[in-house]
Amino acid sequence: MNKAETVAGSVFAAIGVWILLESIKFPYFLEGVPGPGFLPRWISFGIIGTGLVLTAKGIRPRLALLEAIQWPEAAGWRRVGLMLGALAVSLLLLELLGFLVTTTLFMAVVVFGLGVRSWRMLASVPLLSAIGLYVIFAVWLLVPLPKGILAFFE
Amino acid sequence: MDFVSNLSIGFAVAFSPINLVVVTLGVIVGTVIGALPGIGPVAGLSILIPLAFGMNPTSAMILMCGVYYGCMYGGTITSVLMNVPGESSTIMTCLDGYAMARKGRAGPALTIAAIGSFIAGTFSVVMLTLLAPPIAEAALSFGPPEYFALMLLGLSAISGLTGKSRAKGYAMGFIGLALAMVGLDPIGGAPRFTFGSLELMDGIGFLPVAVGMFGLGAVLGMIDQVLEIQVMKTSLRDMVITKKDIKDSAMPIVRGGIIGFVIGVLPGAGATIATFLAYAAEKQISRTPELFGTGMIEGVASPEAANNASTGGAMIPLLTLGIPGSGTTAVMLGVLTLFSLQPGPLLFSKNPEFVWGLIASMYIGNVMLLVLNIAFVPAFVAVLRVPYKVLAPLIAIFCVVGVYSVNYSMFDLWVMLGFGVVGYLTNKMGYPQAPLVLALVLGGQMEVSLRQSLKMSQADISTFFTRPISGAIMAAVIVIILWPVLNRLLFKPVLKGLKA
Repeated sequence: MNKAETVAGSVFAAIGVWILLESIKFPYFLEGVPGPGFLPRWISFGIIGTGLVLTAKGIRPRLALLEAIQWPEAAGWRRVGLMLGALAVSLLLLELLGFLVTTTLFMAVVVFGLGVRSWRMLASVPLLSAIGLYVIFAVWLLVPLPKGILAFFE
Repeated sequence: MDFVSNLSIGFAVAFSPINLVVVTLGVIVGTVIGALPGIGPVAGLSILIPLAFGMNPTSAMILMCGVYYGCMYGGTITSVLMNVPGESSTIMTCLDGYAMARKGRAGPALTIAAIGSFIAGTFSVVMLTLLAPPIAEAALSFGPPEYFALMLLGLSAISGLTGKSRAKGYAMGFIGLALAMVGLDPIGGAPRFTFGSLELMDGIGFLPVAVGMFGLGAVLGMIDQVLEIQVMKTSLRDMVITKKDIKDSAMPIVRGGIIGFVIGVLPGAGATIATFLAYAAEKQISRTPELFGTGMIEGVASPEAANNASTGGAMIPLLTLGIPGSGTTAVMLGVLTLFSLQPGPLLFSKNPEFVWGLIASMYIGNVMLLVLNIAFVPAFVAVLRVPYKVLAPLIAIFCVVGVYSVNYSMFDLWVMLGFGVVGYLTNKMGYPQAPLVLALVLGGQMEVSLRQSLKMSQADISTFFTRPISGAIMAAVIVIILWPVLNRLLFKPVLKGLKA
């Protein structure tokens, strides 16, 4: 059995069931023609069907050998986790600290976390990235990026 | 002739200073993106959408198209110099391209790839110029049943033919359709799957999903392993080719160009399949097939011609019928809908400057790419030396600020992050992403066409099969969906019988 494939198939089937239960709340037919519940219901059947097929395929014993997924090693997962964690924290702090501060901190943390140890790069890359992106989006494209704690400079 | 006057309108638009700058930017960025392993044209286009959103629609699409075919050129650089395909349509180039590089012939490999790409790319744009108007004209007679059938064809082709598993492709397609249902019912206006959320009333945006799945997903894929890269050195002097190189490459370029264009037109096929078929065909007809893989210039010329020719082919169903044939053109369709431009037959009559400006810019872009990819290869190679530890977070933050710049919505950023995780995991597990994005883009219109068709026919579903055009398209849909069964029960026994 391929655990990941079985779980994925089951997740799809579960999503399909949930969509079906939600779509029942909308009328299937309205004045003799398909209503807002028509297509969602058929989509849910499609998701449930494909989910069950994928779950069944995942349970087959020979699948584990034939289609093994190339998961990363522990260090790879840590790098992925670092990127996602840093992005999530950046989104939480974006409007509070502002774009320039958040981007600088994000780049510094991630570049260091990915293994860069040169102090020149650690000092220059985050700052240059934040400023470069600010110039492209805020100055050139006139996008009102969050100013955050730097707003008092205005 | 009509196409002469149309093209003259187009060149007038394409030669405007802003569009010349945009096409140059597009082909350079496309080449760089194509050269970077792990970031393909779909991810590149998705990441650049927010930039394009700040331009007028014509310039935005010129940029997108420049990136699209620029990627085909750029992917060759890493294939030849590093034996790492820049993107999936340059996998075949690795076989003979890297072998040529090891023999000290990287320069001729890159030069022939650039020349073949230019000739085949230009051929496909000429075919686009000639074929698009009559197809668009024929499509004017389409009604809701035909549009529904066409969208179903595009979706079933991409879901069924992309990736290794049809079930996975269909699952992703259905999920994309489900996402398209979130928001207000397009006909009645009632909220669906919004759970009282104001943000969900607007639906799930195509942009944060595409940037998340393709852009952020690719970034996570870049950093989950340590990539040891050895880049072969090359200089401008090395790019000179011999008369024998030209003679050996000429017919492979012609054959690859034709195969690439035809495959590019078919929904669900795309550049990767085109290059596989072109390489296989070249090997089949060669007098020395055993030498393929050891540095045959034909093994570079043909797939390179095919992948660039497929770009022009793929634009035909997109522009004339509004049906994208691949993940890349699905993203372009999403961009067009962001600009409230509806691709299809009316696009040619209502927005001729847009369509012909775009087509004319493809001629200009191909010329620029020929020059850039012969004269500036060392410059592009230098980009490959930027460490991934810097490039990956830079692309990630570009995705964040890009998505934010469109609607200034924190909700969109969280959707992007969520779909970044989905994109990473689905990529790892072999779930193709293009069906989800295509279904998200087409889902709303599909529902409207479906419900309008059934209203017209008073809920009689046979309307899709009794009308000649929609009937023919639905027959193709059924063949695609039932292909594995038909193949096993019908075609294989017939072939066996014929062989016996």
